[in-house]
Formats: sequence, structure tokens, C-alpha cells
Amino acid sequence: MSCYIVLVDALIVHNKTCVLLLVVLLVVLSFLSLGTIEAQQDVTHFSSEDIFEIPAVNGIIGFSVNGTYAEAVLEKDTWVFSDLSLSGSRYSGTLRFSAKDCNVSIRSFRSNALSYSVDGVGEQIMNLGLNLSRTSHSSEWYVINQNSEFFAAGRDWQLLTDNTVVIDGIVGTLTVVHYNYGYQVDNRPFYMQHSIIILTGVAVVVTVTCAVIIKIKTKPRLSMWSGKYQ
Amino acid sequence: MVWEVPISLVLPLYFLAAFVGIALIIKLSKDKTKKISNLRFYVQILAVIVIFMGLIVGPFGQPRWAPLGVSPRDRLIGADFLGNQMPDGIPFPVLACYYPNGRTVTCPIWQLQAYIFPFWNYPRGYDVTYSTLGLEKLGIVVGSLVVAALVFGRSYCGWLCPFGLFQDVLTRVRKVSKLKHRTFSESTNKKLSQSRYIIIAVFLILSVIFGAYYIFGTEIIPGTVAAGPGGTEAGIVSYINEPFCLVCPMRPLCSLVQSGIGTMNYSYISKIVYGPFGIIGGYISSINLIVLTIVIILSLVYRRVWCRICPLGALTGLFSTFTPFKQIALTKLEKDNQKCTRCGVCKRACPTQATDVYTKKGGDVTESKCILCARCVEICPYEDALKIKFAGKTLVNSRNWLE
Repeated sequence: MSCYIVLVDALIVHNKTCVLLLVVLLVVLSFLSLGTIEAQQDVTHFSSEDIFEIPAVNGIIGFSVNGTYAEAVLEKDTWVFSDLSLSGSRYSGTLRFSAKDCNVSIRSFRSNALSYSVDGVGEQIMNLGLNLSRTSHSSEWYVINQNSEFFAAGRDWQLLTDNTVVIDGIVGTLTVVHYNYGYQVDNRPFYMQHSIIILTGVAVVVTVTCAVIIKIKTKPRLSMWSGKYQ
Repeated sequence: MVWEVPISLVLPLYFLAAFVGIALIIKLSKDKTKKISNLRFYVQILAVIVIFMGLIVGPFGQPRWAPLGVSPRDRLIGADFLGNQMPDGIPFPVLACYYPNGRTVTCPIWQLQAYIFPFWNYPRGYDVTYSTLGLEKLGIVVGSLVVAALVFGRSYCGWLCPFGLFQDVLTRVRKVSKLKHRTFSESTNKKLSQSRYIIIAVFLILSVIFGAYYIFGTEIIPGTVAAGPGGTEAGIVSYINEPFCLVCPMRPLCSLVQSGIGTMNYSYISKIVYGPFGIIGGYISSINLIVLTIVIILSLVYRRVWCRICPLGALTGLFSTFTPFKQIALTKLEKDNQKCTRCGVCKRACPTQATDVYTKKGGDVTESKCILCARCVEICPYEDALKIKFAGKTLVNSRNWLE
């Protein structure tokens, strides 16, 4: 918005060449800020009417929105959706989901979160395909219902070593979120664990020292001959 | 499939575009009394792009326009860069919100309120687990502010702050509308300037009051116990968190911009204004909106009206224009009294109505109201009468533009 106001302002204040160049620059900057370009590929479209049954465990998976996937395969009672992307989202990724004795309707899916509604007391097993090279910690996960009630790890849900979440016996609309804030047991040396405060301290000392030196060097000196400040 | 423009391409292009733009403005601006203002305007826009669109630090590798989530914190890229020492980001003295979403810089005012309890280490909710001590985080905030202020003074307000740009845009709208600006009386302006420190004191005291349950074991204001698993959803700051942020006029703008570009979940705007008096919003409170409306209306009459009471500007000013910081501050506005004819044009042109540039006899005339925008320097028609110096070197000086 402000870019357009600048342009209007430029139109008023500057000459045409300047305006033209500013337009080009702003277009370039806008393009850069967008940062993403979409490429086409073969996908299968599905609608909220489509269902994905898991007969062996009496589970049904559906979606409350339309979307696309590259491939959907039932493997060991788990549906694996490759390059799954839901309508309204530009994220696509692989989701593994299994539902036992319940009907599930997936509402949203993104890199670190899945939201779905459950009908029937059953079990849901999901893997969001996190790009993690480690086993996540249960405190990195949240399972929340539509009333923003948090469910306890170990009691209401379990985290497996492959970052799969198993939720048992909860009904309603659930959101499963993973926050990757670098949670880890920090065994690094003290100076690495507290590097930012150390760097800040060093920056303060260096800045003050430099400022004092500059102050002394640029202080006006009284000339011996003329009696005036140089 | 979505693929992203690689950062190795974006960064050089961004810097090239920025450099070429700056060079062109310097070269092509014909009005000598507007050259610096035009340059400043361009730099402000570049700063907004960097701060909000994360051109420099992201959101590379992050999905955009994602569906609803539970928190806007899911773009906290600061955590990727800074680990859990400062996952909220490094403080940078511009009003750009705690959620300049997923960026590595954060509004220091938010941090001061959140980290005000230096000897008590608390979780921040949504599993932001700090590895740093409370005192350590506070030290990083104050230290960063001191360094930033000593080096560039309040120039952040004049050249980088997105809310400063917003006010400047409104000023330009006023000019285009051919409306005349008004000025506060000197005494009013002085009182406004002093009120900034009262505002800082008030919000810090309120932060303690709101967090009383966690400090004293009892609530002073009912409803300030945090929710969530183990009471950690919002940690010490509870629902009525960071009191200044509830009134900050930048917060709605930040939300709008971030939602507009897809770095923030729009549901955090759509959930606004619920709870008693609408003060407990999902992200924006009704007070935010009222203050913003007032600032917008006043900005169409007065220049840089918010900057006169901005607590962040006050802090930056505190660390650059008050003793002992003033003695060693690196960026200064200097006046040559012998070349000054006391015509008063500098005083009239100053957007924050700083008066030292006119009243003081010479030397360092930087004051806490001065945002180092250099408007006085570019408008002054006397050669070298006014200068902005950095580390003793002249960055820009007044020119005889009358010839």
C-alpha cells in the first residue's frame, strides 16, 4: 500500500524517468518479496465428498475441504497421502493417517500442524512428515480441541519415536501442532549456551570503547598559537 | 509443488535494487530541499520490506498462506537462527511488533515487558523454551538497545521505523490534500516528550501487576493467571499480557501487513475484540484500534505525532541523548553557530518540533526529540551551518540551495 502512495507521491514530486525507475524497482522488490513461484505437476483432485476407508480397523478418513494429492496409498491400515495440499493452502507434504473405530474429517494440513474432526470414540495415528532429523520431544507438541483445551501427553496422546502421534479416545475438533524451537537437552559448553548475552556484552564494551576513543580523538583542541579551537 | 527463489539470488538482487534506487534518488531528485526526504522515504520502504516480508531472513523454506493454526508464533524463524536463547528474536528499536512474524528482530518494548522479571525464569507458552535466564534476556535487550542507540541514536525512528513511515505517508496525504499542518505549543510538546517516560514506567508497573500471581503467589487483578498445560500457555504474562501492546497503534498495522503477505494467520485478526471492554483480543484489542484511529486523525494535522510520546523512541533517546550516553554517542546533529543566522527554518521544518537545533548556541544539538531525519539539514540554506556527523565524520551537511 505504502509503495503505491510513494508512487503517487513520486508522480507529483519527481520527473517521469524517476517515476519509471521507481516503478521498476518496486516491481522487482514485490517479486522478490513474494519469493515463491508455483510449478505445475500431475495431481489427483479430491473433494469433501470422497472418503478413504480403512476396513480392517473400521475407520474412515475424509476431508472437509477439497484438495489434491500426488498419490494416496493404503499401507498397513494407514493412508499415505503424498504431496497432499488442501484448498486454501499452498503447503503440500506427505501425511500418514490412520483412524480406528472412528470417522475423521481433515480440516487443514500444513508442515507442522493438522486439524481434524473426529466422530466416534476411537484412535487416530498420524505422522505429519516433519522435516526433523531427530526424535521430537512430547513437549514440542500440542493437542488442542476447539475450546482451546490442551490434552496431556502420555495420558490422552502418545508420541512415538518416529514422530508419529497417537491420539486415543478424544472426540471433537482437534488440532495437533508441532513447534520446533530447537528444543533439546543442551550439553554444549557454557559459552555456547549463552553466546548471545556474551556477544551483546562484547558489543556494548566494543561500542563504548570505540565511542570514547572517537570522542577523545575528535575533541576540539585549543591551538597554541591562535588561542582558538581547531 | 512449490519452489522458492533461492536466497543466494534474492539477497544480491535486493541489495542491487536498493543500491540502484538510492543512487537514482540522489541523482535525480531535482528539488534540493527534498533530496534527503526522498531518500529517507525510499529507505523506510526498504526497511518495511526487510522487516515484514523477511526478504533477508525468510520465510525461506516456510510454507506461506497456510491454513489456520493455533498461534502466529509458527513463523518464529528467530528460533532457527538464535536457538532457544532468544527465540523471540533480537531487539531492534523500531515499532514492528513482537510478531514481525518469524523474523529475527522483535520490538524491544514487548521484550522489556515480557522479561521484566529477571530473577524468575518462566516458560512462554506454546512451548517456547528458553535456555537463557530471565536476567540474561533482559541484559540482551538493554545491551542491544544501548549499542543501537549509541551508534545511530534515534535515526531508527526517522529512517527505519514502519510506524514512522506510516505517519510520513499520512503527512504526504495531508500535503496532497493541501491541508496545513498545525504545531503544538512548546510547553505542550515538552510535556508530551516527558510523558514518554511516564508511559514506560506505567507499562512496566502494569507488567508486574499482571504477573503478580507468579511473583507474589496471588492475583492483583482477577483473571491474570495463565492458562494452558501447566499454566504455561502464556506464561507469566497471561491473557492481559504486555500492557503497552494492548494500546500500541502499530499492532493492528503489523497484523494487517503480515496477514496480507501471508506470514500471519488472519484468524488472529478476525478473532479481535472479545472479553471485557474488548481488551482481551486474540491479537488486537479495541484499545489498539482506538489509539490507531486517534493517531491517524492527529497525523493528518500534526507531523510525527506518535513519535512525540513513543516509549521506544524515548528509550533510544535515553541511551543516546542523556548523560553519560550523550557524551559518546556516535551519530550527532551539530550546529555551527557562526554560520547560523537564526532564521528559524530548521525549527519550523522539524517534524517532532525539536527546538535545541534553533535555541542552542552551537555544537551538539541532538536531543531526545530529534529523530535524526535530517530534514533541518536539508532545509537549512546556509552552507555547513548544520551537519549530521557519524563518529566525527560529516555524513550530510546543509547546502546553500538558494543559489
